[in-house]
Amino acid sequence: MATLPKRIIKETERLVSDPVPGITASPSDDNLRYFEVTIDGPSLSPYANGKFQLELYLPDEYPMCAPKVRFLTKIYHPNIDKLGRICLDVLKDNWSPALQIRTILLSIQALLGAPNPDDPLANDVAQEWKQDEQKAISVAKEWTEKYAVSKD
Amino acid sequence: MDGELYESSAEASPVLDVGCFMSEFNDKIYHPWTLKSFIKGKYLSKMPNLQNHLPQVSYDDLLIMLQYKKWQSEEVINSYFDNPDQLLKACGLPFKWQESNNTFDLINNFTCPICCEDYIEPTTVYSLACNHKYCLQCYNSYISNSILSGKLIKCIEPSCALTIPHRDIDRILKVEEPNQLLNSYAKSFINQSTDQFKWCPSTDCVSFTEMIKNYNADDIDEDYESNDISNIPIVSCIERHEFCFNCNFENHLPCPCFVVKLWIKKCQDDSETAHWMDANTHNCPRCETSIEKNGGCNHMTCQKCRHQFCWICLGDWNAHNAGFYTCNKFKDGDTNSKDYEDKKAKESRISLKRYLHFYKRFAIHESSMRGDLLTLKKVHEVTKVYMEDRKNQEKNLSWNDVQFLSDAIRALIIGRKALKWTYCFAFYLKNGNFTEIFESNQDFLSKTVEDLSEIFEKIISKKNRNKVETIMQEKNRIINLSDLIISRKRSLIEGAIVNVNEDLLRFNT
Repeated sequence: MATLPKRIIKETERLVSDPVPGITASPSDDNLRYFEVTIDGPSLSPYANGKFQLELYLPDEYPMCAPKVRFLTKIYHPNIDKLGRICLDVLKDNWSPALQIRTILLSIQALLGAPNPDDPLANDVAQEWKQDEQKAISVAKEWTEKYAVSKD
Repeated sequence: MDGELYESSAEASPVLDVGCFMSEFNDKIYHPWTLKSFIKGKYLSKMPNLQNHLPQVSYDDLLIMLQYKKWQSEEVINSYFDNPDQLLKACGLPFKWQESNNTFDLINNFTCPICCEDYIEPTTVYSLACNHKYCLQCYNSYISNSILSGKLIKCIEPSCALTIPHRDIDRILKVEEPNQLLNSYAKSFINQSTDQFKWCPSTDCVSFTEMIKNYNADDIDEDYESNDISNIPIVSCIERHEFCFNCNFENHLPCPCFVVKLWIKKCQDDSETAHWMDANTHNCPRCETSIEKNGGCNHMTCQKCRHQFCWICLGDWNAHNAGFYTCNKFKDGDTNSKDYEDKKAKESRISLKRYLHFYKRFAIHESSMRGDLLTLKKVHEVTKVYMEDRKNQEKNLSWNDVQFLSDAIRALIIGRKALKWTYCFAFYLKNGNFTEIFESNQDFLSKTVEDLSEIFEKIISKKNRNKVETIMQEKNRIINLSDLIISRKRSLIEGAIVNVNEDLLRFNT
């Protein structure tokens, strides 16, 4: 494997030594560009108490292009689709090389706290969210309970 | 190609604006561009006027404002006088009281926040008035990534709205060619304005053409099977490659666009397989299934209908009697097999043959055209020798005096291209009296093209020791033949246009 850019090494070191509260990210043993990530659902959101697993991959062009991030845990959210793909501006057009893994993960955590059904990725979820927000929130809570809360 | 030799000599009628041309068979008016001439003509030409109005603003800042306002200089001037601070802010320019000190600094002990590289030795960093410093390597990759969209590029720091001047972009990218951002901007503008602009479809040609007047994309609806070929917008690019502005394919006169589409699709679907099948398979004489014989004896049993027949004469195997391994019916097999080949099979064979007849001729002209292009290069070299030769004789000759050679090559290629498409045209034509007239016109053109091609072959032939002399000997014939090609091509196409419009030629699609 090609040598890892200094930028990635530094970011990884800092993620381990100075972790963001509520977020863990650890590189895989066989590929240091692949991270296993968990994000805690924000406490005042329907995702509270949930621990969501994600995968994050740094493409060769990183940091000139955004990391690829995907939810592995099932989640009921208007901006996250069935495959776990995330609709978030900083992961697409608004990416800047000055952003980092930690800032991206914080943005994702913030997205959990502030779903945006007006710019949906999962159209069916967004539809339900707009029609009956209370019901949608309770479904989101249900799913969190079912898929994101460890039973032991 | 040599700019001088290929200087446009197309005769523009006096009513046309500078740089505009009218298509040969109708009144479409177009303007061929290169990216460079386009940027100069449409973007940079607005700068002097702007500088006169706003002498207090620097050139770099004005260019950013102009791009921000989509090249409307009036807009820039009005906005600036309305509220200069607002315009500066929107364009990502520092306010008047701020120094716009974009700098390339050489500094020691620098850690770039993007790549995290620690530069202990002196290294160049770039920063805008915001003083956000990043190393040149990072700026280089950042700009290379962002430039494709053609939009103004901001400082790397996401919360910073300052814009990088065009001049600095070129410097960071370290390229010879200036105006990199304007190049991208123009490209994406052209790609988004396909009703008005089309790239030349010729291989390796990077120029494009603007349609100025008398063109309406709805006139020739691609799906609508319009037979009217008088309206086809044939334009040419700055390198004088002719193409159809409607379907963005090479000049395909006398064929209508929809016939070209059908033909190309047919060629892609059929040609390769058809060739192979023609050479390697027979149809079962009873059920017409295609059969490939990959070994074994000539006693065939169709896997589909179980019919037994002889591979050589396609006759019923039982009729072979005792002579199982020698086909005694080989010579008169024709009459025998006719009993078995039913009408439909014959028809499909005939239609395939017909297609192959036209396809072969189409393909031959296409490959000859590639040959002609090579010849063109060689003749070009010979031309240089010819020039030198003339100079030695102290005759003052200009490129104009050898213009006839490049004109002739051009005529040859134009003739071939038209000829090529006549075979596609003829393939879809219904038989009739006027088809014969068309075919004889085709013959005339074909003969002239081959005659001229032969002369060029003779000139560049390796055996020919005195190429220059041959050129001089043949000069008059070359000129006559090229004129003849152009006029015969013209009458062929004009004839086709008239006869199609009067419904004397009809398509069978």
